[in-house]
Amino acid sequence: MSSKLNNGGSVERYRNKEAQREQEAKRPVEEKMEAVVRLRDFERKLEVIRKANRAKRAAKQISIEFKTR
Amino acid sequence: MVRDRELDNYAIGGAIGAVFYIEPFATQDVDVFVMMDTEASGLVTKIPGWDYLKERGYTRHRGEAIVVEDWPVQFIPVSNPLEVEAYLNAEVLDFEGEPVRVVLAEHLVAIMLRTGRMKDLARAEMFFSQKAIDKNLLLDIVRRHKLDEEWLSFQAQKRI
Repeated sequence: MSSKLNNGGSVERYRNKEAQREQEAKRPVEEKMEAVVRLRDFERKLEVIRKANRAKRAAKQISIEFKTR
Repeated sequence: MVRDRELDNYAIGGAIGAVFYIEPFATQDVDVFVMMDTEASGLVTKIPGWDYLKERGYTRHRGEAIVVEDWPVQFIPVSNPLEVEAYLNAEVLDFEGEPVRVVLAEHLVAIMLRTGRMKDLARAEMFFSQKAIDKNLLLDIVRRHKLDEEWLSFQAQKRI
């Protein structure tokens, strides 16, 4: 599989996403606020999951089963 | 899409993946890591999921993302061993009764260390300050994926 992979791909991808975000920053404020409200509602729904995830880590219940290196 | 066998599997990464572990920060895109074959040149021939969504009426795009129920979704082919490992070890979390595969916090932070932008490092710092990460697991990933330099730089900035 490794022959198909490009180690630098992720860095390049995030650069492209950053350029895209710079464009999106020029959107109307109303449109941006809609996104903020949607995100805020989503984040509130995840509060319980975040708490459970912290507890799992405090109890050392997370492991990595598949290692590629 | 997994139920309909359009995708073998998937794992949510990026900023939305991080929100499953730490408190909010501004983001919009949903990054969905997917596994797919590429040509010898490294080019991706076809992104799974894209046609599936188009057929169901999701035709609006924003940059490289397709908009699904107002969320820009970007299917990202895993492109290095670290991302493959993140994809394979993603955990299934329950979101309002729906199982959702999300990249482990430790892999999210390792990817942030590799990407290395200021905001990635600031985000990584939040995982530590909010006790959302198993440091030993992260250090194992750092060692195996040769991110020691990035880790030392992160520590040198007194981010943790």
